[in-house]
Amino acid sequence: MSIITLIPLFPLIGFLINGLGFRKIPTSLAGPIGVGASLLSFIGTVIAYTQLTETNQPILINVFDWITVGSLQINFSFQIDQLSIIMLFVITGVGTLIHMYSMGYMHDDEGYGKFMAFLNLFLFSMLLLVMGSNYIVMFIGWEGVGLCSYLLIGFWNKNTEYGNAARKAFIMNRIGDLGFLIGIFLIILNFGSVEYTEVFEKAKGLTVGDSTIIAITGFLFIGAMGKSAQIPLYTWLPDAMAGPTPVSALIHAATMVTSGIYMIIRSNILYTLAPETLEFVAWIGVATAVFAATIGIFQNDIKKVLAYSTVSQLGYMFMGLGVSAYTSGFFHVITHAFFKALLFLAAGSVIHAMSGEQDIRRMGGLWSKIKITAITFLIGTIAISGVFPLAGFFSKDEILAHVYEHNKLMWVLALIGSMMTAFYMFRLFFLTFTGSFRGTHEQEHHLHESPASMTIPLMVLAVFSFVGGFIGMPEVFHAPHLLADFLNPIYEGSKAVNPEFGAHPVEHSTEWMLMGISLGAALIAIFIAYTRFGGSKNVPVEDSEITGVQKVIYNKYYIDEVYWAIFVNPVKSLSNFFVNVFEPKGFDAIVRGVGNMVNSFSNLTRRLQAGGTGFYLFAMVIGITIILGINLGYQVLETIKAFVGIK
Amino acid sequence: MLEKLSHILFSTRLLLPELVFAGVFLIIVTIVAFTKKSYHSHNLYNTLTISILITIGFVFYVFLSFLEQYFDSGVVLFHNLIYLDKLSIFFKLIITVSAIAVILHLWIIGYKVVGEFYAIFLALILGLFVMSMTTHFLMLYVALEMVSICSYILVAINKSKSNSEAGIKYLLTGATSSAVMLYGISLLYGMTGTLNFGSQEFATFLGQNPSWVANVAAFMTIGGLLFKLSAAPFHSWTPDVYEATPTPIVAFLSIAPKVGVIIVMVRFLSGLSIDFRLILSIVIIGSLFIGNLSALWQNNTKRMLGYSTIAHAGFMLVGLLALSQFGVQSAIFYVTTYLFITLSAFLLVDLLALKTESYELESLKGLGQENIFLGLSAVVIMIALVGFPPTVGFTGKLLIFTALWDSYQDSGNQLLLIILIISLLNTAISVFYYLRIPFYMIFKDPKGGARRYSLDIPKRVFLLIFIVLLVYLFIKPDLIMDMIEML
Repeated sequence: MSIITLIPLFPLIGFLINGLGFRKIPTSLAGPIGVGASLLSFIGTVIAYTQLTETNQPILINVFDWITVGSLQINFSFQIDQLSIIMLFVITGVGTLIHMYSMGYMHDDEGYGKFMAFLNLFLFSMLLLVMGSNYIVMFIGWEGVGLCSYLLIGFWNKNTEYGNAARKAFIMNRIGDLGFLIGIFLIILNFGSVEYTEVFEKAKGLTVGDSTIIAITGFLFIGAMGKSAQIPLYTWLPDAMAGPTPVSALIHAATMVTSGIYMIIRSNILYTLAPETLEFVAWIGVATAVFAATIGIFQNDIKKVLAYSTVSQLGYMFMGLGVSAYTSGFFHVITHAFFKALLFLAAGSVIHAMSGEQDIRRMGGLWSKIKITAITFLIGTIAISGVFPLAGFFSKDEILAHVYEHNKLMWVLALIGSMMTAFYMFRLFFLTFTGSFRGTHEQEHHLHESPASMTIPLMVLAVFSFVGGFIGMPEVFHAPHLLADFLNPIYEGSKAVNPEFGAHPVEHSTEWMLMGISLGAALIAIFIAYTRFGGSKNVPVEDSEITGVQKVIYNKYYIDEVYWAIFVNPVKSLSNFFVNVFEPKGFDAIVRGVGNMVNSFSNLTRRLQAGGTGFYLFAMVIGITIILGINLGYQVLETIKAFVGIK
Repeated sequence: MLEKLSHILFSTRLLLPELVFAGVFLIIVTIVAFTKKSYHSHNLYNTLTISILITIGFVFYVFLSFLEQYFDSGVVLFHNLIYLDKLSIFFKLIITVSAIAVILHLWIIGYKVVGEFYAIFLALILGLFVMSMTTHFLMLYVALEMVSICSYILVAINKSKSNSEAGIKYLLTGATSSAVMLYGISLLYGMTGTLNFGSQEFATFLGQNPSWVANVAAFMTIGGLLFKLSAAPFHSWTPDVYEATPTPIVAFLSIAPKVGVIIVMVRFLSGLSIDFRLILSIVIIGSLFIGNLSALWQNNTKRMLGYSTIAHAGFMLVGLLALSQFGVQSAIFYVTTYLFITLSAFLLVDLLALKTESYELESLKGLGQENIFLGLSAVVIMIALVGFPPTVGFTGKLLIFTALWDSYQDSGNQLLLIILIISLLNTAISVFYYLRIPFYMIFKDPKGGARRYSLDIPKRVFLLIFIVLLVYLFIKPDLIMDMIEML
């Protein structure tokens, strides 16, 4: 068995041990098992990386032949190439850190073992998603992560609201999954295969703008919308913050929500063939990025702010994909995984210190109380705001540069979104860590720095948030763009169908200018945030006092209510109609009638079986006679037919 | 003369496993005869029987791949009395596996049986072995009687009143079916002049008769087989015998003889040069409806499973009705997987009865809450019996119905379509009674409040193996299908 097969197997084993042994395995063991499984996967990934760099050819591993229907052969197989190996590093690396963090964060929870098991199951599904060598294996992982997300959002399911949040996430994702599934069916229909290599090879023969490709890419993108929380399927992600914070960090920031982006980059040749879809993707991305950012400005729940910022950042990634800058989008996936996981984990540490309080209006002045958390949170905040030289600057700037090339209006909107990001992130920082403490006396008494198992991951992620951007230096710095060079092989198909792909005609002066503008914009936004919220001068008012436009935005533009009115209520009344009128009068009557008929028949056959041996033999002989009689009767009928001349 | 002698010696060599088997049978009989009757020696017997079975099973497994190297298709032994080919070895393998499972079941649940049981058990298996490698009516009849007589004794071996009653019922109905079968055989012999139903002349001569006359003879001939298969109209013994007999024995009787019968049926029907579909269809329809409709009302799990086997006998015959190579293969697949499903169902029933000391459905209330593993197992096993995914029961039914559909498409025979529809309808009916078991276990509340009920490790592992197998074979049916396609 290849070491690559073992990568997803470790978390599966961890899940089985912790899941089946839940309540029997002592908590002191459950944590190390979970972390160990994740760590072993990470080591496996490192080994896989060395294997990959030996040849630089994609490694294909057939685990077993799975489905053969006619000429369609679907194997359960893995493909390790430049794209999946980076995803593997992010998933197992960040995953291991978050597992470790969970050991501290969830330690006193009664469902600790279950939590570890679910995290491992998530890791397993996520690994399947990125390692699969065809769309079906990806789909299994895709559904698996959806399930785990549901299980983990509703982890504290004793609270009905949390359970509802989990259901919302699940249902919203189903809509996207349906699109994805239709996309896969279309691929099977048009290419006769689901294997990436075969599909992409065949796609090379198509022309740009082919209508079937537009349909396929469009449906696939609907899947991505659901999973990666884009307009209009984004409302589940903020609600998903009901889950424990490590879940928000791992699933709803670093890994699962980026799988839509992974999928599009994986299918880059198909998207390159469909510029119309790409344009659509770009605009959805811009809209989501700006829209979510405006909501983020007025949120007062520390995790909600981060959630909207995640939605917004995902919008940036799609924006990058939409302007054919796949690498830039992916670059942002990587850096975002670092700083957003960091921010969430730090927020978790804050919540931990605040004994469960999440409202930033009750915080303030935490800087001196929980120093490590505060510093790491600040690093994350600077990184996401796009200040040089932290990770976010490089990736966001690269996207913005490509957007500028593509469409100036889009660039302006993106820039405004980016300013808002810097603003609300620093608003969050200032309100949480500066000024004086606004919570209860009891909370103040309990304030403490988190244990080492939580702060170490914070520090590691802070380092990566700092230096993570150096893998993709802009051209004007005359340093190699390591990521782009590494990822080059996966765009072969795109280059083959579109010769212009990957050309980078931005002049150096323009690039300097763009960098200056975005840096300046970020700094201005930070400055505004400082003047307004520095030292917690203006604490946001209580919910009941919010008015005007602010109230609309604070209530997320009432999108949830709109969805409720348009989709949920009509369906509910329809189903009420069916339950109260159609079901009892219509179906039930028919079903009961048939059931009664069967019942009376079977009552008859049962009575015949009363136990008398004599009757048994009699019945047997009668049975034989009947059969022979039918045989004879059939023959007589045939003879008569032949005689009368009917054929 | 010398030539004959060498043929006999050659034949004997190929039947060495069976001879060893007969030897062990004699050894056990001797032990039983010359030692004190003791219920404590069952460990010894269990070990002995299982080891001989495993050895034989291994020999068969090896033989399966070797046979092709020496003989192209099959080999005729003892002047047509025995016909050994890969199909028969495969079936002998299946029979061995089920026998091993049954002895394990017996052992793990802790049944204490007398030493004679093992001797008779081995003799029964020997009879089945012979049955699965003959195309000769004489040998078939001898083997069938060997199986029957052993079965009668096994049913009555506990010497309680209900056992004896069940044994007598079994014996009387069995003897009648045997008589019918003998009558049929004699008619066929009269028509064809040969007892070897695998031979070319049998087919030629039979084809010269009017088909309805030949049908009468053929139907009577398979009477004895249908009796073993518990198909209508030879089914009436089933529920009574099932209810009274110790569960492992029922489990064995409900699978091993049927396996033997199916291979004989495959051989007999493929050699039959007349249109036999009408009669077979009636048998199928009768079995399906009688089995499923009667099962609906049963409140005793073992009786219910008894009726369920009647219905399953119908499903097995559906595969044969297709009369194509694919049909035969799917019937064999169905039988093979049905083996695991049935064995696990009876094991489950027994494990439940350990707690409740009753086979009544009422007593199962809430058991699934008291032991979640048992509850989930019940769901999986019953779903497999119905034939829903993700269990191998689904694969089996799918293959059979596909074979029938293909056959209908090829021949355009309306009868096949009718059978297909009736089969599907019956599958739907069967949902109701199979799922009652998990329903009672999980959704009904236990009578005196829930008490945790835990199984010891061997029982749990044994059941788990079956459950895993049922699901695993759904994911990878090739494991068995490849073997069958090779035959």
